[in-house]
Amino acid sequence: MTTQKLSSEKLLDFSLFKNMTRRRLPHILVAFLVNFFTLSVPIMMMLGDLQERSLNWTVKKYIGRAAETMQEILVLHLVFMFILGIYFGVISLGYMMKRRSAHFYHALPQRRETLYTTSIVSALLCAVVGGLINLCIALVEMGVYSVLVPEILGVFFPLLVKNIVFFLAAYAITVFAGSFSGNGVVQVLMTVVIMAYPIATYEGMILLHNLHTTYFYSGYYGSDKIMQWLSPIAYAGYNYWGEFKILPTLLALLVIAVLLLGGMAIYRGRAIENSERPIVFKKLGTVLKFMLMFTVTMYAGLFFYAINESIPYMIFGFVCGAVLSFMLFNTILAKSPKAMFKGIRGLAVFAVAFALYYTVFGLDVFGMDDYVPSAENLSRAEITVLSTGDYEDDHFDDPEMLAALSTMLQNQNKADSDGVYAPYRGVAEFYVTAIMYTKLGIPVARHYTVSKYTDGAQEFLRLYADDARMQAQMDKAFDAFERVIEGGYTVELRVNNVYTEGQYDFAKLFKLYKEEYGIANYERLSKPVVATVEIHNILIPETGASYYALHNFADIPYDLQYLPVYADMTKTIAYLDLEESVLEQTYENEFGEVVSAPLTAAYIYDTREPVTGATSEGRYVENLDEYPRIEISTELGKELGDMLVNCSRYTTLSRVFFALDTDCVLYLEFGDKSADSNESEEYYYDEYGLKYYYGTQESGYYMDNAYVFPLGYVPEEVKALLD
Amino acid sequence: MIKICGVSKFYDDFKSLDAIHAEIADGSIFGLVGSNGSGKSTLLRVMSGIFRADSGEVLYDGENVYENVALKDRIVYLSDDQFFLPNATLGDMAKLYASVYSSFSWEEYNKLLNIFSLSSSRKIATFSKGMQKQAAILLGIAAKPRYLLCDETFDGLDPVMRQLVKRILADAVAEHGLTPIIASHNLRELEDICDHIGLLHKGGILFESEIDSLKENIHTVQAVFSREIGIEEIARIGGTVSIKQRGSMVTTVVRGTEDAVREKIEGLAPDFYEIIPLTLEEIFISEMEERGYDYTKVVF
Repeated sequence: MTTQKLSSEKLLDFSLFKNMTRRRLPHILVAFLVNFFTLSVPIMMMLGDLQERSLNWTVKKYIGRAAETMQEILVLHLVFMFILGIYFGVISLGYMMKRRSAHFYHALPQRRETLYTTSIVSALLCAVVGGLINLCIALVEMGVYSVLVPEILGVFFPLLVKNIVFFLAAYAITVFAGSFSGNGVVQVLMTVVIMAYPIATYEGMILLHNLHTTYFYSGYYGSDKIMQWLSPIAYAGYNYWGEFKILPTLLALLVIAVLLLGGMAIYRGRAIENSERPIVFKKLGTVLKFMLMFTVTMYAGLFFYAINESIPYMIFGFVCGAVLSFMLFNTILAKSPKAMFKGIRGLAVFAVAFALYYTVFGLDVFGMDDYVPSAENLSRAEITVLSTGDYEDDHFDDPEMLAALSTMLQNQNKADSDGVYAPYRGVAEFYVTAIMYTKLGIPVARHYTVSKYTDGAQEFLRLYADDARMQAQMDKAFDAFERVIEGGYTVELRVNNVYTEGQYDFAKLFKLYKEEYGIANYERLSKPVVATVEIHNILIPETGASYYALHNFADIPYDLQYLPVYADMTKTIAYLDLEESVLEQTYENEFGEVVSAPLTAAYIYDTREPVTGATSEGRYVENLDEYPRIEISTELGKELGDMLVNCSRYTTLSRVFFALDTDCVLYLEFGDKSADSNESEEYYYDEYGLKYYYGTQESGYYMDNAYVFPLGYVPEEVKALLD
Repeated sequence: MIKICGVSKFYDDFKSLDAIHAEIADGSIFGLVGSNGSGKSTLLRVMSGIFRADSGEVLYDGENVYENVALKDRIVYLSDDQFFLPNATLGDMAKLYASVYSSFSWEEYNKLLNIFSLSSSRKIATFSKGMQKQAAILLGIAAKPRYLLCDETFDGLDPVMRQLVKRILADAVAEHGLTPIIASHNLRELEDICDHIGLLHKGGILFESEIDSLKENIHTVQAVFSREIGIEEIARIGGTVSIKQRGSMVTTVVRGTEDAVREKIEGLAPDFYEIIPLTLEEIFISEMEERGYDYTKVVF
């Protein structure tokens, strides 16, 4: 009897498929067991446990908890789906990893594409069968535990589909890696490399670049926006809990298909005689070696830098990384330690290339660090000036705003390169993070500390504060305050960081505040703040449960949960009955007693001419002695001091927009400071523009404070003194 | 007709096959002999479409074998290092062959199973090396190919089984028009089965010829002369490949048909002479020596 059948030239040979699948029955068992112990069994155990604990629960609560349980189980399942994907990827091309089997299969009357696709479909079927059985078991278990309801299935199936997609991604990457590898272990290593190499290399480049730059904003370049696209593991990590989206899923499937087709294309071209070789394409092996060496070298340098924060250490790390990785990869590729120094000239070329890379990009030879696109070249920008980061997603495409941003940052570049610095940190500066998109759509992410004295800074702040989005943010915050009041919650307030213990009626306070606040714009926000009211705790009266901060009660930024009381809010100030004066300076004496210090001396510093040159502390001018000064009477000092506000009470919102007088700084000395002071202890605290010197003298204690004036608060007669 | 046209194959920088040219007629039994590393296995793998030639091509009736499914359906390659599916029985392997070779004959399979006395249901991994070799040959022949490419097929077979396999191959040639190409490093194994032979050395075919023609055209003559005779005088008859003289006895290898050799030697008026046919090995030694090779280095 002769089998009357023609050899197939189709992509899938059914006879071969049947035969292969029959041979792979043990792998079906593997797929079954992995799914069984990571899906079916956890569902049974956790739902069983949940049911035992649910005797007094409502159905809604039970279903809610079951949904959470399902999510936890499917996260565990996801991890194993990745591993299973790699396992089946190895199985699929297992016959290519041994010469005997590779020769055998390729002697058969089958096209290479047929062998490839048949093997892949067969392996996937094995995985599917193992998974499907468990899906049935899982559904039965859900039925048994009365959670086979839309709410649960609505959680279960989208996450399961995600897991399947990630399984396929791991599978496709492994098959792709296997198509140019002739060794199963190397195939797995290459899979890990493909998954991790782009993200690890990119992150390393960012870290290295960040070490030598000032403005380069690694927070953006290293953010999930970019990182998630560099590895399926990263994508899973960043997006797993997000809602199920069809388009990304289809895109992922498309990438998987491209990987599998790419694998087939490589498979077609590979030489069968190279089975059992780590990398079947000789030149590719060399390319991979140097690619991996690049990343290892970079991280070795960063590792050594981290030990001592020293460039020579880092260079030593580079050398170690390059030489050791060269030896290691040579040994792996040749499967012999004898080959570890093979192609030593390549190492020399690599060393030169890496040095060039490090010099050009690491040390920013082309000055990309302070590159700010011109206004004409900007299409839009994401700008954050508040520390909350909630404005990050606000896209500004208004030409006036873009021009203001570009001009301000370019001026700041110039000021920094000229060594012109703000006299104080904090109130005299603000931080800008800008993702500037060029007309070509290329993001330029920079992080600047902008001095309020820099040309264009005030204009930029004005535009930013006057933008309708500021008002929208404030409205949202006010809505949250309103809801607290309307909801009848118990509110615990802190005024100027002091607990008030029911001293104020919040509803009444907020009504006054809102009346006086007006609209959120530059005019409002630039005014000096005399107090800050904070909702410290929100309690539900019936249960006593606490939301703690307003941020938790309503989804608003931390920075907007404070109410800054501006100097012109007379009714609010009156209601708060603020008595504390900025001049009431206190300190602890040697016995730990809080004592007040009398004002003993006062000076006005003329800051109209900016001081240049960095101090040893960095880019800030810490020493006011560099400015011209005049001594004034302590009476005038007190008088001026009463106009001041304590900047330490400022929230970020207040500090950024707080308009400063650019002309002068008031400097006050408290306590008994002898002429021949012999300071045994020194401390300064300048985060909010304040500067203290504590010193012990035989005659007692003294304290120095320096203040900047809010805009318009310097009397003309004082300015005249400066002239 | 198999036509090997300028086939070259490199393993990285090592040239395994160097522009090989050869022709193998259908229905012949072609022996491919050469020392280890001469390129026999590589040539068979190129011929079976496993390897792609770096240059040149292997044509079967004018068709290139590489990635030619229809053609490969008529070719079975038996490796020197046989592969069987893990834990497979002979029956499992037969099913695989049957699923991919359109001409696979279960009838032939069962017949050969009886001849070789192998069990279809026993795992091949439990077979001895010789039995595994038999199993591979069984499967190859049951697939009823037109071309059977055998790499060191007789290695590991006992003398009885070796003869049996030779007989089976001869029967297949006679009955199905099979063209076996048998590679071996042992010339003696091929002598009694092959009708054509090619000698492979350092990736190139030194020569290939029909064995009968080789044997018909070279002879050893042992002659006894009572008179004084010099080697030069013997050489003058023409066609001598080698001449050895020990006293009155001269042994010379002479090219030409038996009649022509007889005529030449009688012209020297020996007291007695005898024409002895050469073994294949002796023919190869002569041929190699004539081409300036040390035969022992080429084959052994």
